[in-house]
Amino acid sequence: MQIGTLDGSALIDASKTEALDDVLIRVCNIFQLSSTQFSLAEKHYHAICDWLGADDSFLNPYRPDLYPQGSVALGTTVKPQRGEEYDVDLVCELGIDYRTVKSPVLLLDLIERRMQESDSYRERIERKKRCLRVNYEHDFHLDILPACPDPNSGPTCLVIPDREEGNWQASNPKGLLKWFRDRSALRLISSRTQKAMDSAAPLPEPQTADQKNTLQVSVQLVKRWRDLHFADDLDLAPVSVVLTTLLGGDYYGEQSVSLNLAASVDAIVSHLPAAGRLIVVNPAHPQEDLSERWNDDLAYRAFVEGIHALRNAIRELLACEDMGRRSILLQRMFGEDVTKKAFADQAKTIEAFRESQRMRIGRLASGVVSLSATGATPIPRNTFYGDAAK
Amino acid sequence: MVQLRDMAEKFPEFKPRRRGNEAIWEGFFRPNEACAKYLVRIEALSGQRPRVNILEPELRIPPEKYKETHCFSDGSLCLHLHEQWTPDMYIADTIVRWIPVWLINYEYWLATGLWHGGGKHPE
Repeated sequence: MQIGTLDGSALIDASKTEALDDVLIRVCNIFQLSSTQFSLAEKHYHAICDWLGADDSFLNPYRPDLYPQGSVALGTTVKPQRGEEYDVDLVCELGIDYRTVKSPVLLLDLIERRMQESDSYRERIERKKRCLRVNYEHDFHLDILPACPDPNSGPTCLVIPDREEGNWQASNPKGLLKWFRDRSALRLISSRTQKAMDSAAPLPEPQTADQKNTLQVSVQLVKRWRDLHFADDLDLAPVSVVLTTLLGGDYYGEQSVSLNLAASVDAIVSHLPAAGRLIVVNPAHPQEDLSERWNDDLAYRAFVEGIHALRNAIRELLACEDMGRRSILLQRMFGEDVTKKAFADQAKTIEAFRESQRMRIGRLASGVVSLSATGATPIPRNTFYGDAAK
Repeated sequence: MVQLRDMAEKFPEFKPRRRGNEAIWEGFFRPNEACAKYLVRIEALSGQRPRVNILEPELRIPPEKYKETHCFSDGSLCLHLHEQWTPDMYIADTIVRWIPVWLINYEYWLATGLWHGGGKHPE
């Protein structure tokens, strides 16, 4: 049983918000990268580190520094859609003065050359536009993005190959990660998370519900919603780093996932400018426009439409009075299977509580007869039955 | 009538009525705050098990699903096996307490398509 989710007693006595938050956390747990996959990814990551930085590696003079970025680093992974694989994004920082490098593509050449020197990696690697993909038999791959330090812009600032022209582009994944962690630390579901995050492990430890914080869960849910909402129009879908930064920027320590989603999405809508487009920069590196894809008007308008739809969906969700309607809305937002499974897990927890004869009758604050985990009135055993009619 | 006196003590909020030597109560139940509030009618009938009907809101169970949600063919609730309630038992100690358990399972059935409250079916 995961500690971040409610036990039988707490579920019985839960407020509407607590019960909804519990379902949302369970939904998240179901679609994130599993602990097993995480451990596998970590194993592969270490193996690549060892290979790139081996004593006889020709990359050694450049002191290759490999570290994760993106959803794996942030703890905001979401199961990919339709047979796609999880992306595990790694940055490979090489200690080269980028101004002496004619083209960023040459960095990729270097890394590719080193990987090709290994028989096993040679079979696995796939050259992409600006990263090297390492394929595995599991449903994830590792993407290595080459980078050079850019100390003039800041201590952890980098330059990376841009998406199109083979020029350098500003970036600061370590800075973004630190910013996100600082924002999410405003309030935690469990305080154990803070210690784990501060210890700066190479790959953050696989998190279960008891280690997730409200901001992380919120980001995961919005990404998942995005995947479903834009399923037929993937090109127009807002990119994860933009959603993550928007949600991080509008997080003020709200502990409830559902209330935070409502407040944050309201805030995002309020940021939409009357003229021009919303610009989302890396808070740790303002030269990095994370939202450059919104230079395309279609993509930006799709985002605006989408964020309004999300806001309406969340409002409807908070207004639901019973679990049946809540489930229908959640299925639309996050998927049928994960939603039903999350509710089923709650139901099983409550049934186990009932089986143990701890369920009681009580009264809600309004005086209405209810179930209770602490009331004085026990419930004798019963077996639901029926008549012979079909 | 004994059941009326007992119910008035334990659940005074339920509105009682007499019908000959039978009794009818109506009252609100809400399993917890995640669930809706339901108006329920409980009838103490002579020579039969008590009858329980959900008055409001209307149950969202089509007749072909009465079996899996443990409803009788008339739409009333089947909360127990035959031997689990006998006329010497107080309705307030049994039937009334099983109602919110049925209701929370009903809502989880709406949410998941499955009945998680256990139970049996006549063969």
